[in-house]
Amino acid sequence: MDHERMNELISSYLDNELDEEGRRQVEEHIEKCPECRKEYGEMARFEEVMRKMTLKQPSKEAWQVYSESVYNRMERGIGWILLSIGAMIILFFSGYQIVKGFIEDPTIPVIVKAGILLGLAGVVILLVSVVRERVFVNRRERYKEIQK
Amino acid sequence: MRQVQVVGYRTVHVAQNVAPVMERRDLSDSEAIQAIRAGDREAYKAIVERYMKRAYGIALTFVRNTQDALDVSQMAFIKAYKNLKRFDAERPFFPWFYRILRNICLDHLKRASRRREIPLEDAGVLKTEAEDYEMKRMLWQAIEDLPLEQREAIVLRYFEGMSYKEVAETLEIPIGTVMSSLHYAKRKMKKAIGGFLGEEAK
Repeated sequence: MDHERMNELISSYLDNELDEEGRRQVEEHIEKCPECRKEYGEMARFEEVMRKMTLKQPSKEAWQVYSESVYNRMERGIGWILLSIGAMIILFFSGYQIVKGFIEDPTIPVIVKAGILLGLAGVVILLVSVVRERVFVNRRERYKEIQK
Repeated sequence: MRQVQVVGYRTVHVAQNVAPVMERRDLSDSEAIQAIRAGDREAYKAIVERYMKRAYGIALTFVRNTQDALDVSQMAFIKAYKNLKRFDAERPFFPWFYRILRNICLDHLKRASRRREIPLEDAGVLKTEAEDYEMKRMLWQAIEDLPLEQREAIVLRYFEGMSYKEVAETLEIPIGTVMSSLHYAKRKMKKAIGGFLGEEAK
């Protein structure tokens, strides 16, 4: 067996991931191959170091409030959605009122009214198009990998 | 109000598929998901509490600071909840969740690098005692330098204590690939901290 393959087996051996047959193979091989014995020794030291590694933990309190804050944040998300829907309704309504008042005003010449209305229509179309693009493109990108 | 009758040790609940509070913690992933789908939002707690530490640990290795790791891992739980209807309940939850978590972490990093926020202290990811600070710094640097798949395998194997089989399931790759990824990664890391290993041997 080549050393490369044996090194891989040694690595799995130390991770306790080999079956009996694999373990026997490794043990027999390092018995008679000094080079692989050296690799085994080094790898064993490395494993020891790695096993002592732990990740930095947050405070205990962080765990106590963790799931609560998941729920709170979800609720806040719903809050934002409702708030923006409400704001949009008010915005549209007042916009409509302003436009209405302005159309009914006899002192403004028709040509100016037409110009402003066309301009407004343009702004609305641009806005809708940008929003739609953002929503759809983002959605496709975001979920592309998740759905798998 | 939910009606709950207690018969001996068993709690029988009248409303279907709604787990009583006492037992929520013990729900398996698929039971919890069933309960959520039946309208019991609180059942999600069982899942969050089961995986929060793991999610945090994984996030920490991506975003590299405690606060952000808590933040993005919670975002992942929220996103998973919202997408639960797309989840195939026949399959294990964690690998699916892992994908969401990883995407959120990568997004976070992308945004952070656009804002040019570079974490000041990378070694802050590992718990350090003063005496081996330098080695941990080098070790973490070695992990950072690994290609993404190898790094993911190392994180799941050593920091989350997963078996090869669990790593394979989580990353959705064959077990042979896990074996060789870990092997290559370990070899590179061993080389990077070689000096320290030698010292320890003396």
